[in-house]
Amino acid sequence: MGKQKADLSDPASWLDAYGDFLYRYALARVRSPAVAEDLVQDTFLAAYGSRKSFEARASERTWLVAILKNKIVDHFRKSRRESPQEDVGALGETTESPFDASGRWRVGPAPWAKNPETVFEQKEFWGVLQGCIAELPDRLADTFVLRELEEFSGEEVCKVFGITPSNLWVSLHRARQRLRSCLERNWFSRTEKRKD
Amino acid sequence: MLTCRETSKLVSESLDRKLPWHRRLSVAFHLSMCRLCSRNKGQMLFLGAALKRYCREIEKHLPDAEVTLSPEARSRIRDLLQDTENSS
Repeated sequence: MGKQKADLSDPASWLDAYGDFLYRYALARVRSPAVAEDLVQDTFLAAYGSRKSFEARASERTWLVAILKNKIVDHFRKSRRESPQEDVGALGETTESPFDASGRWRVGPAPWAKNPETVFEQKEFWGVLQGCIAELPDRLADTFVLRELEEFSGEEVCKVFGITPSNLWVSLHRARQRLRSCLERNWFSRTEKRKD
Repeated sequence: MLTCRETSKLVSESLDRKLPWHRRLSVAFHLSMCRLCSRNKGQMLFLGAALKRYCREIEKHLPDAEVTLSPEARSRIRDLLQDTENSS
Protein backbone atom coordinates (compact mmCIF):
# COMPACT_ATOMS: atom_id res chain seq x y z
CA MET A 1 0.00 0.00 0.00
CA GLY A 2 2.08 2.86 -1.29
CA LYS A 3 5.25 1.00 -0.27
CA GLN A 4 5.59 -0.55 -3.73
CA LYS A 5 7.65 1.42 -6.17
CA ALA A 6 6.01 2.55 -9.37
CA ASP A 7 7.84 2.85 -12.64
CA LEU A 8 7.61 6.51 -13.69
CA SER A 9 7.82 5.56 -17.34
CA ASP A 10 4.81 3.26 -16.90
CA PRO A 11 1.87 5.28 -15.56
CA ALA A 12 -0.32 2.18 -15.29
CA SER A 13 2.01 0.92 -12.57
CA TRP A 14 1.26 4.09 -10.54
CA LEU A 15 -2.36 3.07 -10.48
CA ASP A 16 -1.48 -0.33 -9.02
CA ALA A 17 0.91 1.12 -6.48
CA TYR A 18 -1.00 4.18 -5.29
CA GLY A 19 -4.54 4.12 -6.70
CA ASP A 20 -6.30 2.73 -3.63
CA PHE A 21 -4.29 4.80 -1.18
CA LEU A 22 -5.10 8.01 -3.07
CA TYR A 23 -8.74 7.01 -3.33
CA ARG A 24 -9.04 6.51 0.44
CA TYR A 25 -7.22 9.77 1.04
CA ALA A 26 -9.64 11.64 -1.23
CA LEU A 27 -12.72 9.85 0.07
CA ALA A 28 -11.91 10.76 3.69
CA ARG A 29 -11.93 14.40 2.63
CA VAL A 30 -14.63 14.79 -0.02
CA ARG A 31 -16.89 11.98 1.25
CA SER A 32 -18.34 11.16 -2.18
CA PRO A 33 -17.00 8.02 -3.91
CA ALA A 34 -17.70 9.45 -7.40
CA VAL A 35 -15.92 12.73 -6.64
CA ALA A 36 -13.02 10.87 -4.98
CA GLU A 37 -12.60 8.69 -8.09
CA ASP A 38 -12.60 11.74 -10.35
CA LEU A 39 -10.00 13.43 -8.17
CA VAL A 40 -7.76 10.36 -8.29
CA GLN A 41 -8.12 10.27 -12.06
CA ASP A 42 -7.23 13.98 -12.36
CA THR A 43 -4.28 13.44 -10.03
CA PHE A 44 -2.81 10.66 -12.17
CA LEU A 45 -3.31 12.64 -15.37
CA ALA A 46 -1.69 15.75 -13.85
CA ALA A 47 1.15 13.60 -12.48
CA TYR A 48 1.70 12.09 -15.90
CA GLY A 49 1.82 15.56 -17.45
CA SER A 50 4.41 16.76 -14.97
CA ARG A 51 6.37 13.54 -14.42
CA LYS A 52 9.53 15.11 -15.84
CA SER A 53 9.52 17.68 -13.07
CA PHE A 54 9.24 15.00 -10.38
CA GLU A 55 12.27 15.13 -8.18
CA ALA A 56 13.28 11.94 -6.48
CA ARG A 57 13.98 13.91 -3.28
CA ALA A 58 10.34 13.34 -2.34
CA SER A 59 8.75 9.91 -2.47
CA GLU A 60 6.37 9.23 -5.33
CA ARG A 61 3.58 8.90 -2.81
CA THR A 62 4.32 12.32 -1.27
CA TRP A 63 4.44 13.84 -4.73
CA LEU A 64 1.10 12.29 -5.74
CA VAL A 65 -0.53 13.33 -2.44
CA ALA A 66 0.64 16.92 -3.00
CA ILE A 67 -1.04 16.89 -6.43
CA LEU A 68 -4.18 15.31 -4.97
CA LYS A 69 -4.35 17.94 -2.22
CA ASN A 70 -4.38 20.67 -4.87
CA LYS A 71 -7.13 18.83 -6.73
CA ILE A 72 -9.17 18.59 -3.52
CA VAL A 73 -8.80 22.33 -2.91
CA ASP A 74 -9.79 23.02 -6.54
CA HIS A 75 -12.84 20.82 -6.03
CA PHE A 76 -13.87 22.73 -2.88
CA ARG A 77 -13.29 26.06 -4.62
CA LYS A 78 -15.35 24.97 -7.62
CA SER A 79 -18.22 23.64 -5.54
CA ARG A 80 -18.26 26.92 -3.63
CA ARG A 81 -18.45 28.85 -6.92
CA GLU A 82 -21.33 26.66 -8.04
CA SER A 83 -23.41 27.37 -4.91
CA PRO A 84 -22.11 30.75 -3.72
CA GLN A 85 -25.39 31.89 -2.22
CA GLU A 86 -25.28 29.36 0.58
CA ASP A 87 -24.49 31.15 3.81
CA VAL A 88 -22.02 29.16 5.88
CA GLY A 89 -23.13 30.95 9.01
CA ALA A 90 -26.69 29.81 8.51
CA LEU A 91 -25.74 26.15 8.47
CA GLY A 92 -25.77 23.70 11.24
CA GLU A 93 -27.52 25.45 14.09
CA THR A 94 -31.20 24.72 13.98
CA THR A 95 -33.52 23.04 16.41
CA GLU A 96 -30.70 20.72 17.44
CA SER A 97 -28.62 23.57 18.82
CA PRO A 98 -27.36 22.69 22.30
CA PHE A 99 -28.22 26.24 23.42
CA ASP A 100 -31.59 27.76 24.24
CA ALA A 101 -32.79 31.18 23.11
CA SER A 102 -31.05 32.91 26.01
CA GLY A 103 -27.70 31.29 25.10
CA ARG A 104 -27.61 28.81 28.01
CA TRP A 105 -26.95 25.11 27.51
CA ARG A 106 -30.16 23.32 26.65
CA VAL A 107 -28.43 19.99 27.08
CA GLY A 108 -25.01 20.43 28.63
CA PRO A 109 -22.02 18.27 27.69
CA ALA A 110 -21.94 15.00 29.63
CA PRO A 111 -18.67 13.96 31.30
CA TRP A 112 -16.28 12.01 29.07
CA ALA A 113 -13.51 9.56 29.84
CA LYS A 114 -10.68 11.27 31.66
CA ASN A 115 -7.77 9.90 29.67
CA PRO A 116 -7.80 10.54 25.91
CA GLU A 117 -5.01 8.03 25.30
CA THR A 118 -7.17 5.13 26.42
CA VAL A 119 -9.84 6.27 23.93
CA PHE A 120 -7.36 6.78 21.11
CA GLU A 121 -6.08 3.24 21.51
CA GLN A 122 -9.47 1.78 20.64
CA LYS A 123 -9.76 1.38 16.91
CA GLU A 124 -13.58 1.44 16.98
CA PHE A 125 -13.36 5.04 18.21
CA TRP A 126 -11.81 6.13 14.90
CA GLY A 127 -14.65 4.51 12.98
CA VAL A 128 -17.17 6.42 15.08
CA LEU A 129 -15.30 9.70 14.54
CA GLN A 130 -15.20 9.02 10.81
CA GLY A 131 -18.96 8.42 10.83
CA CYS A 132 -19.49 11.68 12.72
CA ILE A 133 -17.42 13.65 10.19
CA ALA A 134 -19.40 12.02 7.37
CA GLU A 135 -22.64 13.26 8.97
CA LEU A 136 -21.61 16.92 8.85
CA PRO A 137 -23.45 18.99 6.24
CA ASP A 138 -21.20 19.41 3.19
CA ARG A 139 -20.37 23.06 3.62
CA LEU A 140 -19.46 22.64 7.28
CA ALA A 141 -17.47 19.52 6.48
CA ASP A 142 -15.52 21.14 3.63
CA THR A 143 -14.26 24.06 5.71
CA PHE A 144 -13.62 21.72 8.63
CA VAL A 145 -11.61 19.26 6.52
CA LEU A 146 -9.34 21.97 5.16
CA ARG A 147 -8.79 23.53 8.56
CA GLU A 148 -8.46 20.43 10.74
CA LEU A 149 -7.35 17.59 8.49
CA GLU A 150 -5.30 19.50 5.95
CA GLU A 151 -4.21 22.02 8.60
CA PHE A 152 -4.74 25.05 6.38
CA SER A 153 -4.59 28.39 8.19
CA GLY A 154 -7.88 30.18 8.77
CA GLU A 155 -6.83 32.77 6.19
CA GLU A 156 -6.18 30.11 3.55
CA VAL A 157 -9.54 28.44 4.18
CA CYS A 158 -11.29 31.82 3.84
CA LYS A 159 -9.54 32.35 0.49
CA VAL A 160 -10.55 28.96 -0.87
CA PHE A 161 -14.21 29.41 0.04
CA GLY A 162 -14.39 33.18 -0.42
CA ILE A 163 -15.80 33.67 3.08
CA THR A 164 -15.05 36.11 5.88
CA PRO A 165 -13.15 35.05 9.03
CA SER A 166 -16.37 35.53 11.05
CA ASN A 167 -18.20 33.10 8.79
CA LEU A 168 -15.36 30.62 9.09
CA TRP A 169 -15.35 30.75 12.90
CA VAL A 170 -19.10 30.26 13.02
CA SER A 171 -18.79 27.35 10.63
CA LEU A 172 -15.96 25.69 12.58
CA HIS A 173 -17.79 26.18 15.86
CA ARG A 174 -20.90 24.50 14.50
CA ALA A 175 -18.87 21.65 13.05
CA ARG A 176 -17.05 21.10 16.36
CA GLN A 177 -20.28 21.22 18.35
CA ARG A 178 -21.88 18.68 16.02
CA LEU A 179 -18.89 16.39 16.28
CA ARG A 180 -18.77 16.78 20.06
CA SER A 181 -22.41 15.89 20.34
CA CYS A 182 -22.11 13.01 17.82
CA LEU A 183 -19.18 11.51 19.74
CA GLU A 184 -21.10 11.86 22.99
CA ARG A 185 -24.11 10.05 21.51
CA ASN A 186 -22.28 7.36 19.60
CA TRP A 187 -19.19 6.72 21.64
CA PHE A 188 -19.04 8.10 25.15
CA SER A 189 -22.61 7.35 26.25
CA ARG A 190 -22.29 3.83 24.80
CA THR A 191 -18.94 3.08 26.38
CA GLU A 192 -20.28 4.35 29.72
CA LYS A 193 -23.28 2.02 29.36
CA ARG A 194 -20.99 -0.91 28.56
CA LYS A 195 -19.14 -0.27 31.83
CA ASP A 196 -22.42 -0.37 33.85
CA MET B 1 -21.05 38.38 31.24
CA LEU B 2 -20.82 36.09 28.24
CA THR B 3 -23.52 33.51 27.64
CA CYS B 4 -22.63 29.83 27.32
CA ARG B 5 -23.25 30.01 23.56
CA GLU B 6 -20.86 32.97 23.21
CA THR B 7 -18.29 31.27 25.40
CA SER B 8 -18.48 28.07 23.38
CA LYS B 9 -18.02 30.03 20.16
CA LEU B 10 -15.03 31.91 21.57
CA VAL B 11 -13.46 28.71 22.90
CA SER B 12 -13.74 27.24 19.40
CA GLU B 13 -12.39 30.48 17.87
CA SER B 14 -9.40 30.36 20.23
CA LEU B 15 -8.38 27.11 18.51
CA ASP B 16 -8.04 29.04 15.24
CA ARG B 17 -6.60 32.39 16.33
CA LYS B 18 -5.39 34.25 19.39
CA LEU B 19 -8.33 36.09 20.94
CA PRO B 20 -7.97 39.74 21.97
CA TRP B 21 -7.00 40.02 25.66
CA HIS B 22 -10.39 41.33 26.82
CA ARG B 23 -12.08 38.35 25.16
CA ARG B 24 -9.66 35.92 26.78
CA LEU B 25 -10.43 37.52 30.12
CA SER B 26 -14.20 37.26 29.61
CA VAL B 27 -13.90 33.61 28.58
CA ALA B 28 -11.67 32.78 31.55
CA PHE B 29 -14.13 34.48 33.91
CA HIS B 30 -17.10 32.58 32.46
CA LEU B 31 -15.22 29.26 32.55
CA SER B 32 -14.34 29.80 36.21
CA MET B 33 -18.05 30.06 36.98
CA CYS B 34 -19.56 27.51 34.60
CA ARG B 35 -18.89 23.79 34.97
CA LEU B 36 -20.60 22.87 31.68
CA CYS B 37 -18.58 25.36 29.64
CA SER B 38 -15.35 24.15 31.28
CA ARG B 39 -16.30 20.62 30.35
CA ASN B 40 -17.14 21.76 26.82
CA LYS B 41 -13.71 23.37 26.52
CA GLY B 42 -12.03 20.13 27.63
CA GLN B 43 -14.03 18.24 25.02
CA MET B 44 -13.11 20.72 22.27
CA LEU B 45 -9.44 20.18 23.14
CA PHE B 46 -9.97 16.41 23.15
CA LEU B 47 -11.56 16.68 19.71
CA GLY B 48 -8.62 18.76 18.44
CA ALA B 49 -6.16 16.13 19.70
CA ALA B 50 -8.21 13.34 18.11
CA LEU B 51 -8.34 15.14 14.75
CA LYS B 52 -4.57 15.58 14.74
CA ARG B 53 -4.28 11.76 14.80
CA TYR B 54 -7.34 10.98 12.73
CA CYS B 55 -5.77 10.62 9.27
CA ARG B 56 -2.95 8.43 10.55
CA GLU B 57 -5.34 6.25 12.52
CA ILE B 58 -7.85 5.66 9.73
CA GLU B 59 -5.02 4.82 7.40
CA LYS B 60 -3.70 2.37 9.97
CA HIS B 61 -6.64 0.28 10.98
CA LEU B 62 -10.12 1.27 10.03
CA PRO B 63 -12.45 -1.32 8.57
CA ASP B 64 -12.63 0.73 5.40
CA ALA B 65 -8.92 0.21 4.83
CA GLU B 66 -10.58 -2.29 2.50
CA VAL B 67 -12.15 0.61 0.57
CA THR B 68 -10.68 0.59 -2.91
CA LEU B 69 -11.18 2.17 -6.31
CA SER B 70 -14.06 0.54 -8.14
CA PRO B 71 -13.05 -1.77 -11.03
CA GLU B 72 -14.81 0.66 -13.43
CA ALA B 73 -12.83 3.65 -12.18
CA ARG B 74 -9.61 1.67 -12.22
CA SER B 75 -10.16 0.57 -15.79
CA ARG B 76 -11.20 4.08 -16.89
CA ILE B 77 -8.09 5.65 -15.35
CA ARG B 78 -5.88 2.95 -16.84
CA ASP B 79 -7.33 3.59 -20.31
CA LEU B 80 -6.93 7.35 -19.96
CA LEU B 81 -3.31 7.01 -18.87
CA GLN B 82 -2.68 4.61 -21.74
CA ASP B 83 -4.25 7.04 -24.24
CA THR B 84 -2.19 9.91 -22.86
CA GLU B 85 0.94 7.82 -23.09
CA ASN B 86 0.21 6.76 -26.66
CA SER B 87 -0.54 10.28 -27.81
CA SER B 88 2.63 11.76 -26.29
